[in-house]
Amino acid sequence: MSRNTDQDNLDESDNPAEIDAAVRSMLAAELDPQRGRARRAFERHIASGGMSSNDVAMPIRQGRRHGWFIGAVGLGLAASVAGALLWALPRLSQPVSPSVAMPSHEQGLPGESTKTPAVMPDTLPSVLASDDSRWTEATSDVTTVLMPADTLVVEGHTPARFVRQVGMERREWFDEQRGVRVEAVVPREEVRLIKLDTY
Amino acid sequence: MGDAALQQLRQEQLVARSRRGDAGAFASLIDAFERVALSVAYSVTGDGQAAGDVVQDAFLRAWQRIGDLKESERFGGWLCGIVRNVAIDAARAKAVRVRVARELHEEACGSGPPETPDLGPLDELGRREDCKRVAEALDVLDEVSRSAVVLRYYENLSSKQIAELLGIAPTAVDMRLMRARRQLREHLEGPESPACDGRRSGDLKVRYES
Repeated sequence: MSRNTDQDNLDESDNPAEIDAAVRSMLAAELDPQRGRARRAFERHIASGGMSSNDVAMPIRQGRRHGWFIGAVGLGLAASVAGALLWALPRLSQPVSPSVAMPSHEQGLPGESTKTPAVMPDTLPSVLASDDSRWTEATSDVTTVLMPADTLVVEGHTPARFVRQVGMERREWFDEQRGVRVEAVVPREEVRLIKLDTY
Repeated sequence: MGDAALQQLRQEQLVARSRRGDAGAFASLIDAFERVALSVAYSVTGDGQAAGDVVQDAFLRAWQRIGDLKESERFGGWLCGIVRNVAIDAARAKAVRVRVARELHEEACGSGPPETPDLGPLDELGRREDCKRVAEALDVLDEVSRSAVVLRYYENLSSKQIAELLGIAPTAVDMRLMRARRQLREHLEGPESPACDGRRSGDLKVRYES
């Protein structure tokens, strides 16, 4: 802590200087030999593997932080995909090549929750792989929801269904040795433009 | 930004890093607050060695509980609370040990208590008469006033800083310091004070039971 150097605060007029000096001298004699003990004890505690209340939560917090990081990256990728699809709108008026998956009818109902296979790589995220722990993937699932769809008219004459699918992908790893569980939750967003047949 | 504000900011950063499990940051906090912790511990125990033991335990407890601290800027006051509690527990345990030792002595010797109730490092004070008289003078003060005096004389903290650590108003600190200085002066300049029998007035009752 910073020390007060304002001598006026000591109000030395109350006490002769000798008394102040005697008190300081006694306290220094008593307490100065004790300095450094706490730090040495703390270092021994850490060296012997002493854990704080934070240590158990640390991998989980790290996992969540990295989960949110992964989530932010996933969201950015999804936004890029959506942007690319919107950029490709003019091409919807052209005949669909067999290589492009463009269903001619709606898929699913708005608001319906569906289960789809996980889309994240099966490998452990690098941030956990660098850890010494032995991680076992415990669970993995994706939950998606189809948002209410809008109908667009592309290039003035082609109707298309603008379908937005949002979801959460959750993956969980478990370290049996340390009894620590890490969960990564990644928000996903997928945007589709589905050409509508007109009659 | 002034030096004090910079130092406060640095301390808050160390606390934040400690809460994330950074042992190095907490070690730096120990260096920064050790003297303050020793002052508070000494004001309860009245013994340097015991104060060192208390501070050692208190910092370990603080490390284990630092996740409970919500406001980093209150680390000093929070730490002093832990130190004080550990010191009180230690003083009570020591009083029990002294009582048990006295009873065992009486059983063994069939006589009264030993002539001097002092045990452990307090014996060192007997070799320095001035230090003993000062310690006796401090003994007369209540615990809060004694804490204020020790923090002022040993760590040279301002009234505002002492107030933050002890959880009282700065004006209360000034009043206590003024009264404490007057009592110290009366005790040290007056007639020879009686030999310290280890009694303390104020919050902590008797350390050695007669």
